[in-house]
Amino acid sequence: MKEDYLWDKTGGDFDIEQLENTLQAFRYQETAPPGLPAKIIPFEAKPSRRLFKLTFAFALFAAIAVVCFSAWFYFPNVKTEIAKDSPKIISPPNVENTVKEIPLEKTTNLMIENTETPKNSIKKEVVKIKKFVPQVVRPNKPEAREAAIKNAEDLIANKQAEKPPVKLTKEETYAYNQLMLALSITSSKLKIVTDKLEGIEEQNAVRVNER
Amino acid sequence: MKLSKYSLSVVLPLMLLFAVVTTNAQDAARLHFEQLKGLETRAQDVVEVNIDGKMLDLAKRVMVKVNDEDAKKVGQAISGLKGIYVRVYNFANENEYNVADVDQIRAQLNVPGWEKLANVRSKKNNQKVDIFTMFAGDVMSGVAVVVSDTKSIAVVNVIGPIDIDILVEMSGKMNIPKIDIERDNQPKPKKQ
Repeated sequence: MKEDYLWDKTGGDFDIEQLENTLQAFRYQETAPPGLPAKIIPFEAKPSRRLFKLTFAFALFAAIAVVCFSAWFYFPNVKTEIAKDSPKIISPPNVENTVKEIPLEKTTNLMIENTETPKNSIKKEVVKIKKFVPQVVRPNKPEAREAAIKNAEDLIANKQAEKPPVKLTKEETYAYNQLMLALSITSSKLKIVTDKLEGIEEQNAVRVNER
Repeated sequence: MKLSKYSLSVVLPLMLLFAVVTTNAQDAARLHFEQLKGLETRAQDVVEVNIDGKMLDLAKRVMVKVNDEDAKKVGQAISGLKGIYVRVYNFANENEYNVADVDQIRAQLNVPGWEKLANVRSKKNNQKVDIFTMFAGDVMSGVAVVVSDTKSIAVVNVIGPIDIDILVEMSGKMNIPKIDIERDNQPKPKKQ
């Protein structure tokens, strides 16, 4: 086999020529170009990446929304349950209001109920209640409970009694005292008369009944 | 123009007449206590209170300032008050004063205008209580209370409308109320 024949068909190579002759039927023949098929299959465009992005964003948003809604529905319910019976947990300094409004037995039950709740997030709130409730519910005996309520009522009364001092001049004070003195004397004298008249009426009524 | 002249000629005299009548009614409701002055030397305790004019206005203003329910009630009762005059004489011994002096006060009330609202006579301590009222139309223009027994005399003269029911209701509660008063002329603490 000569390599020149293969390279530029110079010289002769019997084997290759024989092979060429055998495969002559498949040799390239320059003819007219092939025509297009009768049915044209349309080109299917790929869905754009933008649409894919939008779909993904919507799905993500929906997922977040579902999570948020479920959390909102679940947690607020727990809070309102506590708030229904709890003695104003949000503002612990208002002890007097708490004692006045909430029966003590209820508060005790509430503490037990809440400690049974399984969720960790709720437990945190229960702990807060536990810290506050004993201050109010400490007295279990009825006498002690009454005393606690009375103390709270006294606190309220004291708070109400603590009014800002009235700024008066010397003349105003004198005038006010004089007027109050005059009115107190007048009212006491009028009271004497009304008491006497009422006494006389009662005596008359007794006499009429006796007859 | 004619209407305004007419209205002026009618309304002005009417207003003047009303003012004169009101002033006269107030003056008529005022009792004279000169006769009782001689008792001051003989009495063991004397209480003399005269409140009217500016003093009364001051007291009413204070009543508004004081944030107290009783004070508000009293303020309501005396809103139309023009004056209040009180004389109280307490004696150490019985019959230490001249009964004629008190009768002179009672005599001032036995004139047209004053109406007797109530009088009580008790043999115990010879107690006599009289309440008189004076009205100008439908409006009360004066009240007089005279209380006397063997050892004391009390005369109260109120000028202007006053709610007697509220006063009676407030009796006992109205002893000069304790209010926190900050006086302007209080000496300030010295800084060290």
